[in-house]
Amino acid sequence: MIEDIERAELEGPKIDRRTTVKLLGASGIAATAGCLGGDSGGDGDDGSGDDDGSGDDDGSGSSGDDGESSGSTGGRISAGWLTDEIEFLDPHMVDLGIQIEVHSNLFNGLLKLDEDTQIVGDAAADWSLPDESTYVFELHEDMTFHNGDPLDAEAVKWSLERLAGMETSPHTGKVSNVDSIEADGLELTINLSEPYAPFVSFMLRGPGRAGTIVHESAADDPDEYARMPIGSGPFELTDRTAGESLTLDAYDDYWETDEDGNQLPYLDGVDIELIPEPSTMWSAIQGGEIDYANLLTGEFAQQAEATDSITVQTASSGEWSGIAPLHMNPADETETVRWISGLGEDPTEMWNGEDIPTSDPRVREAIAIGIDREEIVERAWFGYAEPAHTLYNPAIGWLFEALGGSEPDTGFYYDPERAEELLDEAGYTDDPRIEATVLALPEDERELTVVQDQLSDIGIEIELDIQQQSSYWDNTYRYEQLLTAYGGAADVDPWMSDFKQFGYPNEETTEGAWQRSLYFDEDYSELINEANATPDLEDRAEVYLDVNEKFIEDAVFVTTVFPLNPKALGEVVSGVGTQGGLSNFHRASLDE
Amino acid sequence: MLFVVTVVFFAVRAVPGDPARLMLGGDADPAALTALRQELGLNQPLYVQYFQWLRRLLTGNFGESIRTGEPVLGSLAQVAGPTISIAALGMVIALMIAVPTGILSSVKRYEIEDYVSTTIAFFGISMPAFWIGIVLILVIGVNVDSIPTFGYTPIDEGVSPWFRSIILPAFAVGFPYGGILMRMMRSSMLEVLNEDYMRTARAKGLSSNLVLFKHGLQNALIPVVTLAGIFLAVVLGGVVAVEIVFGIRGIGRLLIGSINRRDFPLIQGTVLIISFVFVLANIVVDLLYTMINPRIKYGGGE
Repeated sequence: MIEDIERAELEGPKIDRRTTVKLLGASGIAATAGCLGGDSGGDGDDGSGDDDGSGDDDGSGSSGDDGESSGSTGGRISAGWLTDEIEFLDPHMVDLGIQIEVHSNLFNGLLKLDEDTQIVGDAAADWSLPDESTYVFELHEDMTFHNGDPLDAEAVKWSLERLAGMETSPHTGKVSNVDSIEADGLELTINLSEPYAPFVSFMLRGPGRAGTIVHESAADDPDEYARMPIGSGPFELTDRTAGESLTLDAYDDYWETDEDGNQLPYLDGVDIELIPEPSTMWSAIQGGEIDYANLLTGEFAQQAEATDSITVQTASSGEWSGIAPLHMNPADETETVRWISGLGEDPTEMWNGEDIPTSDPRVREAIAIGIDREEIVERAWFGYAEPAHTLYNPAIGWLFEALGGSEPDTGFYYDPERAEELLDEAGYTDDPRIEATVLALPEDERELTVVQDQLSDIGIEIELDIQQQSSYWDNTYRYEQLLTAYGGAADVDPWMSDFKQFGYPNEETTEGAWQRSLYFDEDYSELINEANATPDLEDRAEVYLDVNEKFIEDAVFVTTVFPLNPKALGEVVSGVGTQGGLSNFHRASLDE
Repeated sequence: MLFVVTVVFFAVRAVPGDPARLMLGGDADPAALTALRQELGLNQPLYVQYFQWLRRLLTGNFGESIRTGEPVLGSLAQVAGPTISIAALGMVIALMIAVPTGILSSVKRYEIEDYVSTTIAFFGISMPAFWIGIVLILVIGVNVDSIPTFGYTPIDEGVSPWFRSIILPAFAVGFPYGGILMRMMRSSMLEVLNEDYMRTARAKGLSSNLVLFKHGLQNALIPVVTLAGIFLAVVLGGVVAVEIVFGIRGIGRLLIGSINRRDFPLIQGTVLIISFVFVLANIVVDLLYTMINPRIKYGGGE
C-alpha cells in the first residue's frame, strides 16, 4: 500500500497534493483524490509558479480569483492573436505556441497544467502507477466530442495509437516507448517498455501535445482535420477565414462545471482575430476593438501596464533562450553530424586545421559569465524575462525550485574579471581576444546587441549574422559559425530542454537529434538518462542537481533569459488562464 | 511569360531554406524530415519538378499549396478582394491628390501653392506606406470609433463597412504613389506650358482654362500615364506592407507568408499572377494613350 502511494507521487507533482493522496489513500477513498481543476487563472496569478495553497485543486481556488463563480455571464469576446496565420490545429502536428494556445481551448488532454503550472488531470479524473512503467488513467464520465461521439478510454487509445503510427508528426517520439495500451470503459492503461519519467508531461493538453485527444475523423481527411478539427474542449471551432480569423463557439455539452456546478465555459464564444503586427495589436486593444491580446511585445506591454483599463498578465511558456557554442570540428564526426543535420550532406570541412576557441571549456565559461543577464532583461526584454542562470525554466516548477529558484546555487553569474582570467588561461590574450560570428533570427537581434556590448568588454568581438527562419534553421545544422542563438519553448519537462539538444546522439532514441553545439559527452548523457528513468520527482530532482552541475561545469550552452509572455486583458475581461503561456478561456468571463 | 515562369521556378529554389523543415518546425527529427520530403516530392531532381510543374501549368493547373493542400488559384481568389479594393481606392486617392496639386503647382510655380504642394508630395515620397499606416492607426483608428484599426470587411457585408475598413490602408498606399505622380504631373505640365503651341494657343485668344486643360493637360498626361503604369509596383509594394500593418489578409500577405514558409507552388502562382497583372496594366496604359491623344495609333499605316 505504502509503495503504491510512493509511486502515486507522479500523479501530481505537488507536495500538498501528495500528502492528500496519502491521507485519503490510507482512509480507503483514494479515488476521490484526483485533481479535476479547471483552468482559471485570475488576475493575481502571474504564472511565476509559486504555490499559494489554493493550487492543489484549482477548481476550488476561486477565492483567489475574481468572481468567476458568479456564473454564466455569456457574451463573446474578441481576442487578438499575434500571428499572420494559424495553419494547423491537429494537435499531433502542431508545434508552435501560437497554435497550441488555440487548440488548448478546443481539446482535452489526459492531463493539463493548472494555474500554478503544476500537472493535474484534464480528461483523466485521476491516475496512478501500479508499477513504474504502467500508468492507469481513470477518465471523467460523460465526456463527448463536439460531434457527440463519446470520449472514453477507447477514444484516447485510438488517439495515442494514431500518433505512434504517424510518420511526419514532431511528437511521435514521445510515444515511441509505449509498449501497449488497454482500454476498458473509462479506464486506460498505458504500459511503457521501461520507466520513463517525462512521459507524464507528454500527456498534457497544451505544451505536451502527445496526450491531446484527437477524434478518429482525423484519419479520414487529415488536411480537413488540421483545418477544422473536432475536439472535446469547452469551445468548438465553427468557422475560420484563412489568415484572418477563427470563430470559437461554446460547446453546449461540455462536461466540465465550476465548483458551484455552473456549466463551463461561461462565454458564448471567442472570436480570434489574427494580427501580425505588434503595434496594430497594441492599438487594437487600446482602442477597445479587441478585449484580449495573446501577446504584446515588451515596449507595448510597458505602455499597457501604465493604462488603467488594461491588465497585463505574464507567464513563462516554458521558453528559454541562449547561445550554442560550437564544441568541436563537425568533420571529426562526419556520420553522426550527417544524421543530426538531416540535410543529406557531409558536414563542412572549413574547421580542419583551424582553431575553434569555443571547444575550450574555459572560453565557453568566459562567455557564459561575461554576460550580464540582468542587463539583458532590462535593455532587451523591457523587464519581461527572467535571467537564465541555468537551463531549466520556471514553467518546470518542481525543478526550477529544486535548483534554487531565480538564483540557483549552481549557475552562470556575471563575473567579467573571472571571464578575462579564464581567457588569459586559455591563451587568448590578443586584442581582440576572440572574433566570432553568431547566427541568429531577427527576433534575437535586440538581445544579441546587448550581448555584443558585454562580450566586447571582455575582449570577445561578435558579429551578428541575422537570417530569416527559412535559412536559419538549415544553417544551424551547418556549423559554420562559432556561436548560434538558440532556444526552446513549451518546455514543461526538463527532457524537452536537454535530451535532444545536448544528449549524446543516438539514432534509435533520437537523443541529441537537435545538437546545435555538437556536445558529445557520454557522462552527461548517462546522467540525463538516469534522471529520465527516475519517475519519483524528488529523486529525479536529486539527479538533476548533478545534471545541472555538469552542464554548468562544461558550459555546455550559454543560457541568457527565460522570456515571460505579456498578455493583455481589456477592461471587461477576466479569468483567462495564462499558465504555461496559454490563453485558456474555459473560465473567462465578461464583466457587466 | 515562359521566361517569367522559368525565372520564378529556379529563383525560388535558389534561395536557401527547406519547406519540410519549416513545416515541421525548427526542431524536427531527421527521419520525419526525410519522410515529408518524400511525400512532397521535394527529393526529386530539380528538372523533373520543373517539367512537372510546366506541364500542369499548361493545362491551367497551378498546383496545390505545400502547406495547406489547397489549390493555388483558390487561395489567390480568396485573398484578391482586399488587395484589389485597397489598390484601386489607393490609386483613386493618389490621382485625386496628384492631378489637381500637380496642375496647381505648375501653374502657380514658385508661389505659395507650389511650395505647399511640393512639400506634401515630398512627404508622400519620403514616407514608406507601412509607416503612414501605423501613424494613421494610432491617430485615427484608435480615436475614431467608426474606423477600425485592423481587419477587412468584404463589400457584400455592406459598402459602408467595406469602405471604412479600407480607407486607411488605401490612403497609406495612395499617398506615396500620389506624391510620385504629383511630381511627374508638375514637371510634365511645366514642360508643356513652355511649348510653342501653348503660346500660339494663348495668342489665338483662347480662354486660359481651355488652353490649360485641352492643350496642356492632354499632352502632359502622356508621360504621367506611362509612369503611372510602371510605378504600379509602388502600389503593389505598398499593399504588401500595409496588409501586414492592418492585419488584412490579401495577396501581399499571402506572398510574404508563402515565401517565409518556402511554399514553392504558392510563391510561383502568386508571382505569376502578379506579373500577369503587371503586363496587363501596361497594355491598358498603351491603350489609354490612344484615348488621351488620338494621334497615337497602333497597327499598320494608313
